[in-house]
Parts: sequence; C-alpha cells; structure tokens
Amino acid sequence: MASKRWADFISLYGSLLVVIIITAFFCLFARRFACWDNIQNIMVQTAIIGLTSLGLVTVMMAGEIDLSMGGTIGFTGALLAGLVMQQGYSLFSALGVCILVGLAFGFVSGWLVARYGLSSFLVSVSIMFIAMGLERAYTHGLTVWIRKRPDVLFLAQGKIAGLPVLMIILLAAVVIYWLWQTQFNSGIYIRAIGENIDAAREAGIRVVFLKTVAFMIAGGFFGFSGALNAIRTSGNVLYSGQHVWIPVLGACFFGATMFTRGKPNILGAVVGSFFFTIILNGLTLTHVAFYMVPIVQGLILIGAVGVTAMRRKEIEQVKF
Amino acid sequence: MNITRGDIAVNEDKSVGIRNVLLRYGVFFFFGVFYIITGILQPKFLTIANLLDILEACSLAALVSCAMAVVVAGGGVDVSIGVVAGLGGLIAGFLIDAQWGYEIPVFVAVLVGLGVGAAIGTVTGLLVSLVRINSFIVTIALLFIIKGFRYSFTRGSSLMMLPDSFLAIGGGRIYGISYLTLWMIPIVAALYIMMEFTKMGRYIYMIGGNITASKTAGIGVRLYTFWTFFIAGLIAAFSGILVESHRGVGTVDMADGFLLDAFVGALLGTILLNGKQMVLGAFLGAVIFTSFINAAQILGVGPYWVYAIKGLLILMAVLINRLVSEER
Amino acid sequence: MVENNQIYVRMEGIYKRFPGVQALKNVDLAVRRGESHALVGENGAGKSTLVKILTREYIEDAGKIFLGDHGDQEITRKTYLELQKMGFSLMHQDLNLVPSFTVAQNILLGREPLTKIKTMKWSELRETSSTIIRQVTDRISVTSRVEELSISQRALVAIARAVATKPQLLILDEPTARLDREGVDALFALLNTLKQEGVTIIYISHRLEEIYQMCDQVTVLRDGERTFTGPVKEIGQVELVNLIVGRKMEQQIPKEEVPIGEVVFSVKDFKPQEKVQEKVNFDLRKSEILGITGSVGAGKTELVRAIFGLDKRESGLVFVAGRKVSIKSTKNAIDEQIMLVPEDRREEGLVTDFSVRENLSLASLQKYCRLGFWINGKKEKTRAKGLVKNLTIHTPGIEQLVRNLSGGNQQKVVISRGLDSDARIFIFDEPTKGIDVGAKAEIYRFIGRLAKEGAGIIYISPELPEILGLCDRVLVMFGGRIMKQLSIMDTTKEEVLFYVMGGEKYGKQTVG
Repeated sequence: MASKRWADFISLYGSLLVVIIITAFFCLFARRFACWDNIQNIMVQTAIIGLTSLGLVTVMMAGEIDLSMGGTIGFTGALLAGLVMQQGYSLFSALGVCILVGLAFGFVSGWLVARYGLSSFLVSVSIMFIAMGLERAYTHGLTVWIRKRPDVLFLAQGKIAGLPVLMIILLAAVVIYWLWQTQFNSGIYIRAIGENIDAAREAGIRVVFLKTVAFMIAGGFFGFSGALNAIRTSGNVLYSGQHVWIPVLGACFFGATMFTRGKPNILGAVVGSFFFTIILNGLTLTHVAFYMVPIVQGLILIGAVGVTAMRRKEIEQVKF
Repeated sequence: MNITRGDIAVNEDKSVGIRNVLLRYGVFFFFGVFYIITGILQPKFLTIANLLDILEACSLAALVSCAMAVVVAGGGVDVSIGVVAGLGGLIAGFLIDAQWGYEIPVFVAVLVGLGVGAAIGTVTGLLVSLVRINSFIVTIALLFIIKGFRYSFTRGSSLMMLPDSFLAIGGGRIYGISYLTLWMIPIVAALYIMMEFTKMGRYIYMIGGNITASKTAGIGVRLYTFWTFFIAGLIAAFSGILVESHRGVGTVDMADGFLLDAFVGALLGTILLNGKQMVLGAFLGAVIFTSFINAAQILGVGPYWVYAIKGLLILMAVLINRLVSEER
Repeated sequence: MVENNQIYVRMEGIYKRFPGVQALKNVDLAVRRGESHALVGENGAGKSTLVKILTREYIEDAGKIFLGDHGDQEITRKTYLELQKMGFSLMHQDLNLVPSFTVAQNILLGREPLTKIKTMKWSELRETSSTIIRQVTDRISVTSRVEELSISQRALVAIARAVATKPQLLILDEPTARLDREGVDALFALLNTLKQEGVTIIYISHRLEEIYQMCDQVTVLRDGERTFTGPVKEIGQVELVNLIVGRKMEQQIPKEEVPIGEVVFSVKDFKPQEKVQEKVNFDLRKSEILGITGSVGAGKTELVRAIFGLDKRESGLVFVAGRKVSIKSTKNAIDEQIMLVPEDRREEGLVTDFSVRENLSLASLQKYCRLGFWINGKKEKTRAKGLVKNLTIHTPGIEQLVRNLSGGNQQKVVISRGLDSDARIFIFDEPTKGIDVGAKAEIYRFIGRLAKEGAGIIYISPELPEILGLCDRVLVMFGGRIMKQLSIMDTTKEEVLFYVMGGEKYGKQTVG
C-alpha cells in the first residue's frame, strides 16, 4: 500500500530529512552560513558535544546507558586546568591523566554493570554525582583560568594549516571511531551485545569484557572532551558537565531515529550533535534572539522524532 | 539466558518470609545504623531542631522526588521537572513582582503558575501517549524549549520585589515546623494514597510493570500515562512557587537543581522498597539523602562533598540491594 | 545394550529443578555416533531443558555428562565454547540472531574471517556464508539483514549458523516450528546429507511425522522423566503417542457432552490489518468450543487480537448476541464480556513483578472500587482467595509475585482474571503451551466447565490432539486464510492436518 510505504520511508528517514531541510534553509536564508569560515565555526562548536556523544553512543549500542558525563566532563576539565596551571604538568601528561580518569570511571561503571548486572542508569548517575563531588573538592569551587599559555590554548583554540585544531580532532575522531565500529570485530561485537546478548554469548563473544570496554571507551571520550572543554573556555567552570549531558543525550536519542530504525548508531549521533549546533549557528546568523535558539532546537527535535514515531504501535517506555 | 545455580529461587515455600523481610529492610538497616553512628558522634544531629531542619531541607526535594516517582512508576521519565518548577514559579512571580506593575492578586498568580505546570504536563503527556515519543526525548526537548522561553519574558533579570503575601506561602515556620514541610506532607500523603489505594494508582503501576498486559486487560494505557505527566507538571510548578516564595527572590534557573534531587530521591526510593510503594520510597529517599548532607555538615565535612555523597549513596544502595537479592 | 565405544555422548542421572516444577528427574540419554536421535515429549516435558544442560546454558542440579569417544571423557565441567570447539552445535529454539546484522554476519558471528589486525574480510565473509546457506536454500541473499526476512527464512539462517562450524554433534531444538513447507523440505535434505557424512544429530520435536521420517532412535520424556528409548522402527505412532502422553489420548481430555445453544458471537467480513488475507466469517454458539488451528504464521493470533481490539482491523463487523458492537479498544471488548487469554502469558498477560492478587483483579478493578476510584482492599483480597481456590492455583499466598509461580499456575491466574471480569466469550490463545500435564488437565476441565455454564469459547492451538479432544468445531487456517470449517465429530485427524498443511480440497488423498 502506498501510504504504508510512505510511512515506512518517513519513519526511517524523517529525522534526516528534517536536518537536511533545516540546513538547506539556513544555507539559503542566512548569509555567510555556507561559507568556509562558518563551517569551521560549526565544527568547533560541535566538537565537545560530538566527542562526548561518540562515547555515549558506544554504551547505548551495547544496550546500556551512561549519564556519568554530567560529572566526568567537569571533573576532568578541572583536572586539566589545575594540573597544567597549578601543578606544573605538561599539557600532554595532563591530557593523559584526564583520559585515564575517564577510563577509570568507565571501568568501574562497566564492571558493575557487566559483571554484576546492576542497572546502568543507577550506576552511571551515581558516578556522575561522585565526579561532581570530586570536582568540587578539587577546585574548592574556584575556577582555574588558563592564561598566558598559548601552548595549551592552542589545542582548542588554535589552528593547524588554517583549520581549527578542534575541528581536526572531531573529524579525525569520528572517522577513526566509525571505522573501528564498522570494520573491526570488537566494534561490531559491541553492537551484537546490545541487540541480542544471548546470541552474542552463544557465539563465543566475551560479553562481560566487551561491555566493560564499551563503558571504558565512553569514559575515555568523556575524559578527553572534558579536558578539551576546559581549554576551549580558557578555564574550567564548575559543573560544566551539567551543560553537556542533556544535549548529548538528545543528540544520541535523536540520532537513533536516523539510519537504523530506532537503534543507537554513530552516524546518527554525529548528525544529531551537528543538528543542535547548526540550529544555534543558523539562528545566530539570522539575528534571531538568543533565547529562541533552544526553543527552536526543542521544537525541531520533537517534530523530527514525532514524525518517526508515527509507525510505532505503542507508547514507548523508559526502563531502568 | 544464562541461568546458574545461584540465580534460581530456592524453595518457593519459604519465599514469602525471611527473604522478603531481609530484602525489604536490609537497606534500611544500613541507614539506620548510619543515623545512630552520626548521633553518637555529634549529638546535635538528633535534636528536634535539627530534625526539623532536615525536614525543611528535604521538603521540596521530597515533592519533586515523589512526582518523579509517579512518572517512573508508569514507565516514563521527566527530565524537565526542574525547569517546569522554575517556570511555574517564575510566571507566578512575574505577575506579582512590583517591577512589572501588574496588579494581580497573589492567589490568582499562584493559580496561573500551577496552570503553567499543568499545561506543560499536558503537552508532555500528549506527546508521550498519543504521538508515542519516548518520554526521555520529549522531556529533553521541553527542557530546551522552556530554557529558551523563560528568558524571553524576564530577559534574564530576577524577580526581587515580591509582595509579602507571596513570601508568606513558603517562608515561615510554625512551632518550628517550616511551611515548606507543612505543604509537603499533605501533598506527599495524597500522592501516596493515590498510588496505593486508588484505581488510578494501581493502573499506573501496572502500566509501568507491563504495558502490553495492561492493555490486554482493558486498561486505557494512554489515559493513565498522560495523567502521570500531568500530575508531575502540576507538582513541579507548585514546588517552584514554594522555592521562590521561600527564598524571596525569583531567578531564571532557581529550580534547575530539582532535577538531580528528584532523580536521587526517586532512584533511592526504587531501591529501598524494591519498586513497590514508590511514593513512600521517594519520600524516604529524599529524607535520607538530605540527612546525609546535613550530617556531613554537622560533622564538619566540607560542603564540597554534597554531590559525592549523593552519588555514593545511590551506589551503596544499589550494591546492598544486589547483595541481598543474590541470596534469593 | 550398546558397547560404550560406540556412544558419542552420554548424560547420566540428570536432575534439574525450577521454581515450582521438577523439570528433569534422573534422566539418562545416550546418543551413538552418526545416529539421528529424536527427543520427544509434550510441551514442558523437559526436552529443551535437557539439551540446554548438554550445551551448558543451564547447569544441572545433579548428574554427569560424558563424551564416549575416547573412553568416557567427562565433560560436565566444560563451557559451551569448549564444547563448540569439540564439535557441538546447537540450534536454539529462540533462533538467537542479531536482527540488524546481515545474514552473512549472523551465520559467522564470532567466527568471521579476519585480517591480521582483526578487521572483517567482507567478501570472504559473504562467500563463505553463501556457501553455507546454500546448503539449505537459494532464496536468501546473505547481504540482507535478518530483520528483513520472514520468520521461516530466519529459522533457516539459524540452521545455517548451526551447521557453519561443521559440527560433529548437531542439536536442533524444534527446528521446524517456524519453517514453511519449503523450509522443512530444505532442512530434511540438509539433514540427510549430514547423516551420510556421519554427523550425529539430536532432534527435538513434537511432530511425529518428522520423527518417523528423519530419525533412527527416539527417547521419550514425560513430566521430566525418561519413559522410553529405542529404535524408531520398532514403535508405532499410536504407541509412541501413548508413551508421550501417558494415557490413551481420548481419555486425556475430559469432554462432557454439552448442549449447544444459540449464536452468542459472530464476525462478518472481518479482516485484521495484519497477516490475515481474506475476510473472515464465523459464528460462535453458547456452550460451544470453537477451535482455530494451523501452523505458525497461519494468522490465528492476529485474527483474535484484532477481534479483541488489541490490533487494528481493516474492516468487518462483530456481533454479540445478535447485537452489533463496536470494538475499538480492549476496554470495549471487555465491556462486551469478551476476554482474551493471550499467547505469551509472561509478555502479554501478566505483570510479573506484581502479586497474584493485583494481577487477578486487573481486568475488573472497577468492581472493587467505591465511589469509582477507591479500591476496596478487603473485597479484592477475598475475591482473590476465592479465585485461587476455584482453579487451584498453587501459590503460597495471594501476595506472592506472579513471576515465582510455575507456568501452569501463571496461566491459571490469567484465566481467572477473565472469570472475574464476568466474561461470557472467552478466547484462549494456546493456553497450555509450556505447561505441565497436571495443570493442563485442570485447564481442560475448567474450560469444559465454562462451556457447560454457557460461555462461548474460542480455542486456538496448533496441537491437533487438543483440538480434536476439546472442541466441537474447528476453523483451520493456513497462510492467512480460513481453509475450512469442520465439525469435529464428522472429521478425522488426517483431514484436519490436510488443511493445516495448506491443502485446498480434501479428497481421496491421505497425509501420512
């Protein structure tokens, strides 16, 4: 039936269409939207959310959820600023510490969830709180500004060969990660675990191990993007993770409605991350009031997801 | 499924009995011990005055935790609960703040604030039950929209000239008991009664438990799912009005922290009572984490650790719960 | 007696208990190399449990497992992975496939051809999996995703996966449950090839025709005990059925003669949106038990779900006692005193984390409410106790969580729920699936009683013995159509089976 196939088509590609239409809209009606400078701008603005969502989507593909970035990002940001500015670490080693901290958090969450079957929602929320507490304790509530350190600021604010470093990092991360996820068996197995853990187990896939790895990967991404975030803002702002976790969740859930019939996927998460920035960027260029941005973001999110929900037979519940 | 010896329930003959009791009270026991230890270390902790302080401090958290518990019981989640609270308070305050010169009776303004909460709850409820969007996404989207919207009429400025009649709603004490607590108790009690003793509450639990089975049994799943969000919106708005009245000032982001508090309370609640009696669980959850924070302050632990405490609490509760149920 | 060195795998003294039921009691199983060994029994007899213990998905409470090949090597402690390396392969009843992965990926999941750096060799994957699946069918492209395939095709993929490792011991758990005609033929062709290659096969099924066609030896399980092992050639069908069932079949289902009354329910030109291809017409009379039978995918469940208001319908009218009714939701249906006992009690029928009491009152809660909203706890409790007694639901108490009850008792809860809602028209969708014999008998008796008291009953089951023993009339469905309406008294098992398999007109031909 024609109408059924339409419904199918829209439920599969609806969100993507919306993103394309919106982007096209801005290209036409916002001056300088499509120019190279602005594209670089968009890349930089998306970088943090994009990197974080790469981490979150990994855990989601493994069938779990991870909200700890609300705390991890702030904590590693604080660590980076503090280690570099106050404790004399080199940028490189400070970054390493941040990533290690993220990996550690990921290991704890992953182990508890994969080995003991604890609810990933509960565990990751508690890690978020613990990380926030650690952040507070470490910084005593004060912001550490990164000043007069062009070597550090370079990482998030500089350019290489005319391209912003953050943009390069983002693109590189997306490409490398996407390659890993689709070509390497470990990446593919993580998706198998998320979809049918019994099938994965029966196939001899080391489920506990890989699930833990998924959480660790997420943690690593969170740690890294937390550090970059602090550099981007030239200093850590307390609880900066709190501004990130909700948009990242939005990006990943939104991304799940694209390309894969409701399953979390990398491309979708990346497009989803850009989606929020594109709206922000486009609206800014068309001189729309700044407070309209989140309103438009929310409305479009509902519109896009609502359209893909058409095919669903029943209310979708959230399980912990 | 990988079923091993350890997972299989032992004799069903015994199961309603020792195991259930242990499961139900294991976590309480742990917290009870904590209270006693703190009381010994610092007797000030267990004074009436301090306990009343704890009650006051947890009142609003208890309200939003219980509201969240209702939504969670029905199988959803409401990430927008914090901003709805803020908006309700903000709009009510906006109407009576002397800066803007609207001559509206406080009573009407409060009703309008509540109306805002109800309206948002309605939108959420409809999007989840009719359009069938995942409540996570819906409430995230609404979070965005509200965050933008609230700037549009306040332009970021705070409401600082609120009339005394408004401040009287949440800003006093009677016999040492805070007004916040006095508002909280009947509302939480009403929620508890609704969930445990009325048809609506029973349906909400069942829908959260198995929506297909509920549908097969003829329950109007869309209707009751809708109600959970409506109720949450209403209570959130009221909490926002209370916090604004209590603090005496209305800022744009004044209730944003409610979201995390609601999560902690509701989550602790599900663990404490194993998913049953969720309103009571959420209430106790809020009381417990507020007590922990209070204890930390009294014992001289720095204020830095507030969040860490919340996190550790949940973690410990989850672990204890799992340890106890391993024996099943 | 068979000499030990001819035995390939041996299970001794296996015990296994689940909450509420002793699934296996002192079961032995000995399979010789190269033989095709059938494991038969009713639903719930223990067949799946036994092989899951063999493949270490379950751990037995007691007993040992030996590999008889090199002098009785005990393999009780091995993991499934190790057993796979030793040549075991199981085709799961649940298929265990990853829906969004391609057929190729599923067939070789965990064993993909990889480069040195562990990336996938895609073209090799495609070729190898193609070769494997062509053993069963030409029709499936290995690049299609499993979620795009029909149920029968998915079952074929699962079979391909099971043989991909070139196993020496192939265990198939109800392989034909989801296969269509072609699939069954393909499977048998494959099995014959494997037998010639000396592969040992354990074949679980409750379809006797297949057993006789494919297998050399048969072991019968009944209520968790082994009642017979022997060559298939030496036992007749009737005898075999008796061993499976324990008594003469006709006696098993207590059927009272009940006078059938006027029409209480009818559907005209009814067509659900899903599965069913033609408009359906039938009547149901007072005290009548109308069966609906057919194999998997025939459309039986889809039909009744649409009638009940769970799924959408495209067209059609429903009449209750001659009066046209509009059923747009399940609530409408229940108000019209229609009750559905769904196929999957755990997923669709019960809220497993809640108590017996709460589940019992679910469909009729309104009755217990004062002022329309306040639940009268006492009334609910009393009624719950009464219902438990009525159907002898074995539970320590009405507060017991439903998930802790055995399958049979869970089903009784679902059925009692319908009782409580004063239903006059019951639709049972495979109510005895996976239930022990004792509870089955109770349910049959209960349904008989319901009919006697004047209810109209629709009974869906793919099991012909049930249909023939319990029902007055039967609708046979195949491929989304009603092939024939038959009166039980005037038909034979062969005729019914004929239409179940898709036959158009039953004539002189008989089905073996």
